[in-house]
Amino acid sequence: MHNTPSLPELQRQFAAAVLGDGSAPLSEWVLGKGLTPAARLQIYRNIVFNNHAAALGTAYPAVQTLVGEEFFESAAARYLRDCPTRSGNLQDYGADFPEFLAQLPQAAGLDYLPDVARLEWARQESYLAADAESISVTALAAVTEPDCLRLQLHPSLRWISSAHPVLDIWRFCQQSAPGNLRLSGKPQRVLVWRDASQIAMQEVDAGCHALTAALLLGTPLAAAHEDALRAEKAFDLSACLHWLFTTGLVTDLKTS
Amino acid sequence: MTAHEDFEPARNKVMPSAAVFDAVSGQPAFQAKPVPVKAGIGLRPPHFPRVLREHPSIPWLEVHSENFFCAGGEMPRLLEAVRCNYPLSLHGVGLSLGRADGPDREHLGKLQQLIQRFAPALVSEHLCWGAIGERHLNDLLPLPYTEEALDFLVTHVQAAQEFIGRQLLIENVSSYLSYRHSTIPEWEFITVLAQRSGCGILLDVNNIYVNSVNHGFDAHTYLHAIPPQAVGEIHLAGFTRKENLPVELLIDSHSRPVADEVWSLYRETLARLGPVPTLIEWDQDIPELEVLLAEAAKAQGFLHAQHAIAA
Repeated sequence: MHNTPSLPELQRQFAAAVLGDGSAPLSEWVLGKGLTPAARLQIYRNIVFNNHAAALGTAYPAVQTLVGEEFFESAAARYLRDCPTRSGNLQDYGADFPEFLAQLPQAAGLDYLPDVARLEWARQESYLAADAESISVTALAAVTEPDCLRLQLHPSLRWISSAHPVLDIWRFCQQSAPGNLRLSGKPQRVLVWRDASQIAMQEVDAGCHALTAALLLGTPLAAAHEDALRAEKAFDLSACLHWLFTTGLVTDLKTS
Repeated sequence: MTAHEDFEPARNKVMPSAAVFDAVSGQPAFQAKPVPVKAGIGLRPPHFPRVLREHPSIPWLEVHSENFFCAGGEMPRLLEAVRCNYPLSLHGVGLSLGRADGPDREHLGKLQQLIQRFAPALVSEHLCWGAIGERHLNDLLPLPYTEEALDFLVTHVQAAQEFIGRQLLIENVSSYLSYRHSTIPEWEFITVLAQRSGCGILLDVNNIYVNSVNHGFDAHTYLHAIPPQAVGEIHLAGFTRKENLPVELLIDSHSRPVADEVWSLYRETLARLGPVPTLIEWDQDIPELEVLLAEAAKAQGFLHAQHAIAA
């Protein structure tokens, strides 16, 4: 028998045993009391997996619908092993699940799946994001230096740009008994934000998406407008701005 | 090692009178309403709408701190509304005070913000660990009961209490394994922790019962080692029995009514400690609110009988 493990050693071995890469050194220090040490550790493996799989299922219901429970569970098990969370709050768990799915060989045939997951994580982030008061479009009238104007957008606003009809797929998954979806193959750009306590989603054109993405990075409006025109020649700035204001997505104006 | 009788009384320390001031108006946002010595329930998201709509008569409510760690949105707004009508307790599940590499400062910071915003009457966490290095297992994992682990825990509980500026209640957890190198009985471990760190004890009577079965000790030995003045809150919940094993094993599933054996131990607990604020927890297969309120009413009956004896 080896020397008594220190608490840091014991906890590292326990984490390794429960997350799936080995239990041998720890087993010596776990009392069997009528069971094997491995059987007792298995109880914790099950609990830890169930907690994380449930959190993942809550954040990714459409992904679960698309791949089925069995596939989802096995993906969740592999994800827990490969990408254990650093957070003691399960609301944070699953941020890199879309990238994980993109790399998962078994999901390679479902090329839209990572984007559906990205949309679902955007919804999760949006639900938990900070609050902010919207401002009215009349605030624009007071702007004296439009060249350096920056728009602050709502903290809950996120965007997804997909080569797939990601919003149509997500909505299809909300049906109580989804049948077959005929995929059009058209790309979709989607904005996601929180409206009162609901998560809102809206498909937007390439110009509005480019403008919003640039504004979210803190780009001045003039430069964001150029981005939007590059994305879409016929981009209508005033219509897009009007929509952003009336939807309550603008929270501040800055001219420095 | 024996327990000394030199505690700061938990029940006096956990009821601050400080108000939290609203940043804009300068008016108190919430007065810290003390938790009465009555039976409350753990409030989980499915029951928020009814509690806010119908204002049922419940002496106090407890929520999981981490559910409200978000920066904004629906959850903090719901808790604000609840907080206007009920005394509140914040119960944490993710701080991992027993991790060898020290509590997570970011997690503590979020807890502190929550405390400042909602002025809870009680703040509690668990006698366990759940993370090491960059891995978080998000579960209440058992510690070896050694002098080494006790030293770590005392240091971390003291640091956490200093950080949040108030006393923590620390809850005994259910466990499904024990370690060969443990040298201290669990009841002595938690007692000395309270004595050395100044924390109070959140005594989970169901967890005492579950561990007495899982690890083969007498629940009364545990109960009688606990210093009454350190206990600031009691938890009750339901367990499930794991089938098809060569030994009896109970899982603290929070998915069922409180078991008869646990009610019986609860009565003995009250007889020894006197009346203590008591909470019904239910986290899996959450039933209708009426079921939770009926469990709380049953606990209230025992508390009432104990009040009558004390009077």
